[in-house]
Amino acid sequence: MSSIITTSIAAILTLFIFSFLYKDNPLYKFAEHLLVGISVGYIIGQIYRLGFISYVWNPIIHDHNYLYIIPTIIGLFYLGFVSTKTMWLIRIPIALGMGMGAGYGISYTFQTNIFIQLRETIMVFNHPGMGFWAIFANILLVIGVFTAIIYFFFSWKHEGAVGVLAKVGIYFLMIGFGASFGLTVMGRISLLIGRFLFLFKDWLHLISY
Amino acid sequence: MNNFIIWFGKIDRRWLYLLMAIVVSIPIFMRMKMKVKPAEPVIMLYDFIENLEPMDTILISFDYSPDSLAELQPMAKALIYHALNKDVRILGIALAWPSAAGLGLDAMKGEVHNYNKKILGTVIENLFENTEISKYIESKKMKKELFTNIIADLIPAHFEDNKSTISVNKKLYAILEKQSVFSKVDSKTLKLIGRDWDYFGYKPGYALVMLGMGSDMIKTLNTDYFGNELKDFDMFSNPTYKIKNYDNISVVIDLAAGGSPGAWMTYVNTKFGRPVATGVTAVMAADYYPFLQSKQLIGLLNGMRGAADYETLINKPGLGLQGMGSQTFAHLLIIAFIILGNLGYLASKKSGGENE
Repeated sequence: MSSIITTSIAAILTLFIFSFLYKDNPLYKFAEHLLVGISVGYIIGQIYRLGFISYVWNPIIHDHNYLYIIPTIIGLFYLGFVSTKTMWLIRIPIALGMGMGAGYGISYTFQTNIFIQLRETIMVFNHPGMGFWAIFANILLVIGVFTAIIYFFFSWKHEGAVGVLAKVGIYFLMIGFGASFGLTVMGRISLLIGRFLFLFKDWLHLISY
Repeated sequence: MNNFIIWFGKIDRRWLYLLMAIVVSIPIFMRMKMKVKPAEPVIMLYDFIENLEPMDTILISFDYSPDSLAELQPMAKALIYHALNKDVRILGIALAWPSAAGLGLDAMKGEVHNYNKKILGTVIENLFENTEISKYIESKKMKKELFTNIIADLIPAHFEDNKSTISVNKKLYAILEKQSVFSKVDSKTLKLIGRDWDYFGYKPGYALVMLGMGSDMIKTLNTDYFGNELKDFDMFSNPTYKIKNYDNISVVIDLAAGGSPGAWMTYVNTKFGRPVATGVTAVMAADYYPFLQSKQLIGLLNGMRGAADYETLINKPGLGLQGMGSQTFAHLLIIAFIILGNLGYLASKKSGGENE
């Protein structure tokens, strides 16, 4: 019985959201605000249980690990925004977070997104046993990377040979955007299918698989 | 014709929404089945899991929220199903979205439950023939209810999260206990929490948790979603095959609706040198193909289509394959809209009308 009620609530709220396709209306607004409110409430609950209780309350109160008090106090500095006099305190946890994040991240992020990617572009012809299409694809990849970078190279005016290469780069970018758009359409349709399957199958039981 | 094209270019968009709703609904009602030829990046991940040995471990990170459920939940279920049937151990975690905790739980517990139900189903059916038990069964309806209750309550109590409410008839429960039914069926075939799978739920800290798990999972995570201490579990404490860090994990699979695959690649693949695969929403998929070419990803599942591909490979139709008929016709409709829209634009431009 409870599952019928909860499924019906979810289904009705789905229909409220769909009603926006006709025009903006109070039912849509109600569902939208409910979603925002519930999401924030849920996240606060989860962070309290899994963050505060697990990483602050239990270690300090139950395990008597008082070292945890230091990061807790630094974390509380985030609440400095409540007064203009204490606003500056926010800088401390932000600076620590940024410093730690940058320290951990910069080197590996560069390796992941730049160095390894670049290496795979340079070494692309060296793989043994490559067929014609693999070589062709790799040549295309190198041309694509090179011309797209040229397009974003603004120190020279895009004219003459540079202009031609930049134009080729634009075509590669356009193909990339087209692929992204096509995938976006597929993604949005998938969400619609998911909702329709929920409405017809889980709620109305009009179909069974 | 020209007039029709111009008229179509100016049609109220709500008619197009209605048309789209009809086109998506019809294949659902007709249970249209589309043949799917799995894509290479999906086959790569399938082959990787297929070639794992029993007791190998995969870590699935559920990094999505309910709005991406239609695309990513079928992937999760298909991957878990495959791993369970290969006797591969599964760990689940959610790092990016607190709201993913419930989705990951649903996928993991649901698939483990279905797996155990299939095995125990036969055993329980045989139990009902036992005279001591059969006297409690007065009707077919009661038998069905008992079966459901035993599956729902007793199995979790013994084999899953130990958080059962035990609503089954207490006398019957006592008989089942007395007959050591559960110890009889507790063979290696069943999937038990702490031995074959575990779920950590949402853990705040994101990159710090990823890094921490690289050195010591117990120290970093401490407890699982159900509140069990990890150190008490066989899979984390057995000296022969314990899971200590990423060295004991064959692949990390990130099911994501955001930028988390980048973080997993950065911290697990680049830093610790362990294989990473991902299943992403279609919107993001184009961003991750370059990482396949550089082998920073060993597999990629792309949206609902990726789920359908995987379901085809494991021969278990789910939400992914169910949606492929609607997906195909919706795409055809959109292609028709794009062509007609552009023709309408050109026609109105030619006739000197509005250009937009």
